[in-house]
Amino acid sequence: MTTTVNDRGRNTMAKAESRQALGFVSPALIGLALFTVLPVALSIVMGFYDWPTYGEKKFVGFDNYAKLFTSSPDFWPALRNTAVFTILYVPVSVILSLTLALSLHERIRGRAALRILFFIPVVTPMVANVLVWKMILQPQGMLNGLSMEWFGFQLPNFLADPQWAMVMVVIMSVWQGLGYNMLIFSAALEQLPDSVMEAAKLDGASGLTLLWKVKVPLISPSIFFASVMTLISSLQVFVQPQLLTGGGPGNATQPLVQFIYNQGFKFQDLGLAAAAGWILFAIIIVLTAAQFVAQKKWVHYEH
Amino acid sequence: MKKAHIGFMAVAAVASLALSACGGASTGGGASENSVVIDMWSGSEDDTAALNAQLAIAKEEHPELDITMRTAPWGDYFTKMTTNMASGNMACISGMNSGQLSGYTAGFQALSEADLKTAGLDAADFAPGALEILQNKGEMYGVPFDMSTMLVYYNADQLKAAGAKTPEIGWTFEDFEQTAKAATTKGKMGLGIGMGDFQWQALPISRAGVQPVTEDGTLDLTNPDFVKASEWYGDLVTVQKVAAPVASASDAGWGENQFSSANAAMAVDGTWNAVGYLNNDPGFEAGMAPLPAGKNGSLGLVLGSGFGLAKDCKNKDAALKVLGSLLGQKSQDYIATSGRSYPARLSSQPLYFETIDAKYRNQVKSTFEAAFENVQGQRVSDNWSKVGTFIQPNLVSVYNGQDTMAKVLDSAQQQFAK
Amino acid sequence: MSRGERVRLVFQHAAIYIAALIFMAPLVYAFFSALKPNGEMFATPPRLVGSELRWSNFAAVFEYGPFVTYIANSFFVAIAGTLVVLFVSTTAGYAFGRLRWKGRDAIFVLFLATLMVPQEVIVIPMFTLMQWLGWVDTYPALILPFAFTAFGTFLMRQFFRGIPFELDEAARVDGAGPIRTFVQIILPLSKSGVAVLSVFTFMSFWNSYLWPLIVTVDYNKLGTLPVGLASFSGLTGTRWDLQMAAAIISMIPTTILVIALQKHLVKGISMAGLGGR
Repeated sequence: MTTTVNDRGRNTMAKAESRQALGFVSPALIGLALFTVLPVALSIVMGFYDWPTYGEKKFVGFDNYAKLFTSSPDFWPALRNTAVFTILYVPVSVILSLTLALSLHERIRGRAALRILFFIPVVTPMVANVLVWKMILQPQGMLNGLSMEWFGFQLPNFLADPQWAMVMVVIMSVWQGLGYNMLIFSAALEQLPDSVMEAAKLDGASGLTLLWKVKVPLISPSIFFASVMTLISSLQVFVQPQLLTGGGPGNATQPLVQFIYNQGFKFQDLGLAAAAGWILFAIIIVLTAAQFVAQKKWVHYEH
Repeated sequence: MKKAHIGFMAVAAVASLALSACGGASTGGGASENSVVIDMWSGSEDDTAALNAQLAIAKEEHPELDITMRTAPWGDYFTKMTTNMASGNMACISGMNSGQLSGYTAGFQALSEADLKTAGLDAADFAPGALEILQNKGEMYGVPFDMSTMLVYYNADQLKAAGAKTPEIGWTFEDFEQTAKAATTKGKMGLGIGMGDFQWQALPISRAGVQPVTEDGTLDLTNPDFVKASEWYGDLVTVQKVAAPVASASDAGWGENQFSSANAAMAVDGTWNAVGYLNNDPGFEAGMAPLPAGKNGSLGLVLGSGFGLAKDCKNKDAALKVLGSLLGQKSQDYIATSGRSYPARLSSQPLYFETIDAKYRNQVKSTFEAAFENVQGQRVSDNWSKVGTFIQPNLVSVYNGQDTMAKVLDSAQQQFAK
Repeated sequence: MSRGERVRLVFQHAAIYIAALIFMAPLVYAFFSALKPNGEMFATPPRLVGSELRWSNFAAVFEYGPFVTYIANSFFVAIAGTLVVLFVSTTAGYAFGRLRWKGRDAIFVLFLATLMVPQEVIVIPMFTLMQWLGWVDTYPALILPFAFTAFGTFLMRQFFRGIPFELDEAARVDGAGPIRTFVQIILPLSKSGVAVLSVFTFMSFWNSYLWPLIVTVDYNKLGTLPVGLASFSGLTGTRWDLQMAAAIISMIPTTILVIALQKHLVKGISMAGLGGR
């Protein structure tokens, strides 16, 4: 008897909670449906059309996709560049920002100010960042000037050399984005329970052991989060190469999103741009899913 | 997950339906019959003020019309025009530049004799060649308010210090090379090498005496004369070493910056920057000369900006009247006397020189007159902007010796010839 | 502290301050570039400080274009956008993080998937949508389309989950409904989370470039700062000096915000479970 009443009570309560939840979630749901799902659906449709900026739109099935893979000279290089950028950028950025967060421990004086300092490039307009890096890197620039003066050694024309250009895009991006992940790791380290640290120290762990065996595993969830977000953003990289190298020399630093931008806004082939966008989306989904699967191996969750 | 999936599909289906239903519906700029919207680029407050002065003239001449103007900076204007065209949102009157036209002809109405008449314009009033500026394959898509061509600008102080000969009207490519070589000294270079289409192509075109596009709009980048002249141009950096290699493919204005920062003694740039260079920031004495002459004399392109009529415009007659005012005598006189650019109307042109500092007036006048004597309308292929987008980042490789000019031109020809 | 430890600490300080110095170099260069005359921007050999410190560049920024309008618009859009994001994200985060309902987790996964859609892919359809709504060249178009991204909801959900569930139970016993629980208990406990989300959202609105560029027609009316920065590049070249000065001006508000909320920022991130466990 009591159980039924309880069940019914729980049921009505659950129903009430569902109704209320709907109320809470509906602004976000409606907004997301209108401003993300709908445009996304539209862009899927566009991918199947020959969709010039102006004039007749024509259904072409998978032609845009076929064109990308077989006859678009910049598409494969763009995929390659995005891959190279990601492979270089993600580990360097994550490792450096983690090192930085670990170095800024509580015994360092002025750590709050230092944290803000390392965060400033994140909030600086990219136009300004890029302009300065160009002035530093160009042959008549600061770096080569110093090298000539001190060592009499002529540095390469960094942004005009196919290999160096990508390296510099990566370095500049790392510099620009370092503060973001650093903040996440700092937060995680701040959160480490004192009791665990004390216990580890009593066990004789110190220095690197403490770091590798205790600290890093404890903050591995945040390392995971940062790697996922960094991976997604590096697959979507656009502004840095667009402004720093213009995608050049040739197409040596043109990533996929710049390819999409060019197709859509410069060459006015919106269908092809949308198709390329969907390939990028697929890559992001697959890699993110892979990361989620792989995390079980190394991310340490405490329950 | 399954439910979400179905929901997603439903949205996609609705979206595609909505698309087919609403695809044709557009606002076409200008709601009422008497309203005309003008889209134009404008960066600074000065630019906007000048446009407003012309707008005022149009309003005064047509008080019955409700004319409004919307502006965006030059760099963004064409990105926006793409979205506006894609969505049928183009303003009835839109600003256009000769270098950009080929990508946007689909949005513009080809203007007929009758249209010009409605606008109250007479072709004979414009400078010879001016009406070719906004032409594409024989159709006229707009009427220019200014005309320009490329010149060689020089840093007189630097040339003097290096003992190099000063460029002058009637000079040849031998003279050019001599000056460039002599001026390359003490860490300064003879020439700021060009990255923009106009800036880099001007010398090869003048030297070869041909444009890289044939009269019927076919791409002709592999024309032997043009290739040879272009190779010569690239060699200025890699072989003759009279120009510094470009640092990055995003440096669209490399050569001009090198010149205005006093790092290079010469640069090729448009007549539009004449006044700017004369009043340069580092304060050097600047001068100008027409492009040097090759074996067949010198050849320059006539360039410029103007206004066109959107194909979708609902009230074309009213818009044409506004177009007439914007390009009428009064408005053109204003452009000339404000010294902003060299007007396209013959009778307004002399006014331009009066605005120039008396010290330079004669040089500017004679250089302009000489330069505009040997000009041709710019020919472009349908995908000219793609060609430019492809070539520019590859020029960096050419200037840095990683690729050859011939290969780049050949590859562009292969890709974009159709 | 042992001697060895002390020596190590000194070395650590030295290393980190040198790193900070190198790290700062480009920013210092940027600052001094904003004080140079335009013609010296690319002078060779490059010099940190120009022939004069032209402070008037900062004033000239305001004379060049409608810069005050750009700043006002940026503030309005960023603040309004942040408020919308805070409202939408906290409510949805609450529903996803603390209420039980059917289909919750499936819908949440869908939410997260939208994080992966590159903005450049949907701007054109988004623009078409704005036209159907008649929003082109209006404030709603600048504020709303990117105010519903899943990031905020995700962040707030993580954050709310860190708050002990006993508090809800206690509130329920007191007869409080979800709305009261949300407003009186959950929100006040989430100040750090709200601070983090505010900074990140404000930053993304403040620096957003591509979308305002596309959806604004008349820059004199609705232009924002990043778009305004682009207006220093014209048909006849670029005013580098003014562009740099304008960039310096435009980074002030976000920097102040970061400094002001610094403490909450670190705490907030860790409590959201993004940082820690």
